[in-house]
Amino acid sequence: MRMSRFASSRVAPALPGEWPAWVTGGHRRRQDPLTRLACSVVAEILQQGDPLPDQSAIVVSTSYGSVDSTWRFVSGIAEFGDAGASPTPFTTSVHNSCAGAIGEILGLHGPAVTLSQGCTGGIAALRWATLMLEAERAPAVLLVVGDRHTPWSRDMVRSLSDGHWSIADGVAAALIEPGEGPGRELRLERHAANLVADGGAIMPADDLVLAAAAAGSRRLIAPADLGGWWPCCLLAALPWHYQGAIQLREIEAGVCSEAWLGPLADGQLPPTPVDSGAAPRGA
Amino acid sequence: MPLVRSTSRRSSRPLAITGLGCIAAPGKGLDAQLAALSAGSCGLLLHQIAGLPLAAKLPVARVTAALPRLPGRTMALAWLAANEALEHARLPPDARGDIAVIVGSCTGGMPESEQAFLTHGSASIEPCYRRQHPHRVAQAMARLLHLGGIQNTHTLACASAAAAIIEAAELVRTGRHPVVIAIGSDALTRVTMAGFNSLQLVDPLGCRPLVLERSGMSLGEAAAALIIEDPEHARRRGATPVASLLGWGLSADAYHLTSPDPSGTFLRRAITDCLADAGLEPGAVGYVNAHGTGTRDNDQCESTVLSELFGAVPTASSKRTFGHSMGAAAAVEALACCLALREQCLWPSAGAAGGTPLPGIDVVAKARHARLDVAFSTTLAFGGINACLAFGGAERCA
Repeated sequence: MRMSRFASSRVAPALPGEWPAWVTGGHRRRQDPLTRLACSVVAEILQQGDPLPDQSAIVVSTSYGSVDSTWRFVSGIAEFGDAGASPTPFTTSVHNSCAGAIGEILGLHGPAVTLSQGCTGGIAALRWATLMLEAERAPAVLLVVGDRHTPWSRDMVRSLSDGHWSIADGVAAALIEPGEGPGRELRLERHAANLVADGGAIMPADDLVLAAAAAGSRRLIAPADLGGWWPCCLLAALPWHYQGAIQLREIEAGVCSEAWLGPLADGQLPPTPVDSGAAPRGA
Repeated sequence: MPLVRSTSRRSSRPLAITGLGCIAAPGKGLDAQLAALSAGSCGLLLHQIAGLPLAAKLPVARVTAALPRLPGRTMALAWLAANEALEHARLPPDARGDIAVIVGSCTGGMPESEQAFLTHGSASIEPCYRRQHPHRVAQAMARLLHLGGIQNTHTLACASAAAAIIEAAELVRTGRHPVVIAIGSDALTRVTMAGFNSLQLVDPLGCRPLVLERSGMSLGEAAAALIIEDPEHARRRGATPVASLLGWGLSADAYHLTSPDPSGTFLRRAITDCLADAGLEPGAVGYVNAHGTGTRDNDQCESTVLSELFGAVPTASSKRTFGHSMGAAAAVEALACCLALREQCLWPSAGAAGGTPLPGIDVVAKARHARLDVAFSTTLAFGGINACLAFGGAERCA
């Protein structure tokens, strides 16, 4: 498997200013903020190569999902009663509305799933993409990972984390394809690595686990690099230009998930230095 | 890049299903579901349910059995189903260290969060919000049931459990985990009840799927769990499979967020992909447990495609028996298929008797015994998702 294209919003404190041209009027009106953010990153993926085959799969991994819509709908119940709430926020409140909207706009007919696996959702999405390609169910998998916070999620993270990280929104996207070629090799099985990259952890105990596992290795801590934390921020911090092999680690409630990215294929993008794990917390 | 064609793909080896568990409106445990399926009974309640005001007007399939004290109704339902499935598969706690847990759920901890919001306002929900996210169910199952493998949670509306079963199957097929428990679990919420009511999709008299007189769906809540296992692993530990998982298909309409593509093009694709994966011809399929929600669009699309592909195949929907349990539905219906294969009995489509069956398919009005080799389950979901699972008898993975 290989990750053939990559794009990231890095930190997105506000919604992107312009819709991509392929998102037209009706869709622009209906989409929730997470989908809008996702579309801006998917646009970068599309610009990097040929259009996606229509049998491509899509996997969106989001811990919070379109929770803005959910609470708008609940507010409607509170204001107008159970029988009076508007259907519009209900239809976009389902967790897979982002995947459904992007798939519909791009005309993708392969498996379209949405994952919600907390802080390990990025690697869960890489695993799902690998399974789909190994099973020959799609010629490519468009992977979208990210979250937009709400006031409730911000409160939750602050109380759980004791203020370790600044909180931010962000989305990363990648195209996963079978075989060899330009891009990075993707492995689920253990592999040698030059760099350990982790998503940081909001719980101090989890952070100790990540730090211990990276002891002695060159380490990239995603929220320090990005300047903000969201549940699966690791992929947004992916050092795409880094030539060496990378071990990816995400943690949730003491359980680690791992994946490995092999070196870039020869003659691909130039190397860019990557900071070590010395970056200050809460940057 | 060539397109993947269902006809060109190799078929996959059958996997063993060695344990089942379920809690739903008919009661707790497999025996309760078996009795309800064979009788084609209606699991819908027509009375006020505390905390669910619309239930005064709209029938729902509510679980009335006692639930364990866990921080969330969806979690409690999942625990009961998962625990039963693990015991059914004879997997004691000390043998579960490598078992992966893959959950399908839409609502997660929403029942508790929405209650806090609606009772005390938005400032009060933070403690509940921590448990709202669907992955908390998988986490809790892993911790409480000593499941040491990977965890994942699929949340793609009514197809959530189908995707969980599919990931479980691929984890076993690729040798990454010899045993995986796939769980679908969803509790009723005011959001889902008010939401589907706002879309005018709920039948105030209770759903009657697969008949011309249908006029909408009925919601429900449930959890079901399947133990999916490498057949060789099952054989080595002396487990007895209940049924086998033969294949799957998964596609997207890319047509509309909430309505199925009336042409059924990609539902057809999901089914033909599933047939190819299972190495089956359409004529091998002896029973279809359809998604059959009872809505005009779903049942029309589904019956047309089934008729085109399979002819007058015996078909039933379990939605009047269990309600539409959203993220759990595909797991409940997978369980119905496995029990049909075990019992060699075609379960009836509750609510079909007295109605006019949709043309082209054989809507099963009464339970009937038959020699059944292969059963299919189809699922359509918000987001334009189409899923199909193929099940065979236990002997197929022997």
